[in-house]
Amino acid sequence: MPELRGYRTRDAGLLATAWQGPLLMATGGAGPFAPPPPEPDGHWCRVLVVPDAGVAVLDRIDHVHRTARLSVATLDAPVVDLLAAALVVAGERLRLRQVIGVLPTGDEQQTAAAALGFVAEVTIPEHVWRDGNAVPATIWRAGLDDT
Amino acid sequence: MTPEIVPCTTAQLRRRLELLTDHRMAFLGRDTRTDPVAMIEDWFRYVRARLFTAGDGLFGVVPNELNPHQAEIDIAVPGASAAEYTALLGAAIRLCRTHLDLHSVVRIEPNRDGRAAHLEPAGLRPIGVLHGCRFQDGDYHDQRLWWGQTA
Repeated sequence: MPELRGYRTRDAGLLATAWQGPLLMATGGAGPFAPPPPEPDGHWCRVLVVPDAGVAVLDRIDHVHRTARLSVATLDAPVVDLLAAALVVAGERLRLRQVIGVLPTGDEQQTAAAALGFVAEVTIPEHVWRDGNAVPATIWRAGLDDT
Repeated sequence: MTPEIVPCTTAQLRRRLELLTDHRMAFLGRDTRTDPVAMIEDWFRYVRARLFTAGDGLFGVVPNELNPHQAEIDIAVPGASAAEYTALLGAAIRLCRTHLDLHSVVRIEPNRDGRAAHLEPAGLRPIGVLHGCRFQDGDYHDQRLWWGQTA
């Protein structure tokens, strides 16, 4: 399993290159119109990296509700491995109870998400802008701790 | 008379957040009962929320990073009647269309309260729940979501 570590300023290039927006899993690198990468500073967001491979972003962290949004992006490394590593960090290091993530409905990555314990919760119409159209997306949730 | 939905000044925001606290009303993901005002303001900056006055309360819009034509919204108006909520929310959703070019909106329930009853008359429909995602009154609760088009 890849080892994630906290963001450093030298990781700025990787973050900008890999980030495709707050999607649960994305691979292939940012295109020219990708949204700006998240701000790695501050208490609402944690950016974790595997150098030269990918990033895992936990944002909208709420330590009262013990939830966060999780987005993982790789350049060409297996994104599912990075997602698995991020789930361990979210549960065992950040003590979150669950994480949620967004995938366009029907995305090819949803089988991999389900294999890691994610459950499809809600489908939101018109949630993702893709190729000139607003397409539905599903919020997936992974429980990390039942307490 | 069409209710006015206008941008909120910092002073107005603080007064209205205090009013929401007095009425135990959560707003746009924040629990006014436990989050200090500075923390709530920081959250609004973080999610790039646009905040408007709505009657004596607040209407908020958080852009969706994945689709510029959709946003998360919330409305909290202490003491408002059902008719007032329908009028204010209708005006707010029209503003989303006419001034923010939003085609659809999503409302994610912050804490459970009676506001849910006012959403469907304003054109929002329930689309599901996030199970166990909200800690309230000593336990984890499901968080309901609504969605609607602005026109």
